[in-house]
Amino acid sequence: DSDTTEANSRKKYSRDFLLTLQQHCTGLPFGFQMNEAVNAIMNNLAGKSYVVDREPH
Amino acid sequence: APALPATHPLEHSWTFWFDNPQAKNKQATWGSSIRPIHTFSTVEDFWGLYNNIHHPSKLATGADFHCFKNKIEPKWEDPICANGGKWTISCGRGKSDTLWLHTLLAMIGEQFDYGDEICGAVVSVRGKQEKIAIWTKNAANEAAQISIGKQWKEFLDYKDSIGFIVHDDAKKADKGPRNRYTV
Repeated sequence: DSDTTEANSRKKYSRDFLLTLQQHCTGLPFGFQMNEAVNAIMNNLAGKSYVVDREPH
Repeated sequence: APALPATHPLEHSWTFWFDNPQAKNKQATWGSSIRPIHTFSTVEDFWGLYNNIHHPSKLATGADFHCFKNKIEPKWEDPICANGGKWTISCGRGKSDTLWLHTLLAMIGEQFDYGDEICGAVVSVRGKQEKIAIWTKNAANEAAQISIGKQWKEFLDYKDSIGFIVHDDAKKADKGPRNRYTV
């Protein structure tokens, strides 16, 4: 990742670099918990009963 | 087993918080309707959240959506925020989506020279406008505040002047608090 720098041991990412990753991350993060408060701000899931819990194998 | 995809760790963990205007009406105590949504610490998890939640233009009037460093509550009473203040920009309804995204990317990507001074950011949807504020830790540190304000305007390509209000002044002011700094 040429757009990250470890100078000052700080993890820096430019806006342009961050934007290149946007389209690859469409799913909710692992461990995300749905609840009533969250429901009000979800795009496509709003109004649906939806739990993002993955079954352990 | 397939290898896990590479992820990009952030310097800090950040928490999204939502203050729901519908819930506000039901509850008497200010701040009691604010709820943490999720804490993330990689670029990938940030986008996974951002891509699935409403952007400011889709939020209801009265909503406040926060992104603060983990363990810092977006309240004046939080010990890390208590001596701080905030820079605020405002724009028309439905106009803050790009400004908000660019604010988030500058924060989580550690683009501010005084990034350690930053607590987080909040977008507030109101009747006629949307406002974005960056909260900082030590209002008395003028050099840090001025640097953050100037860099923020550059990142957003925001041309109007913006003001910094000290939380303590905001608490005491019976009218509108005065700007401590302006850039």
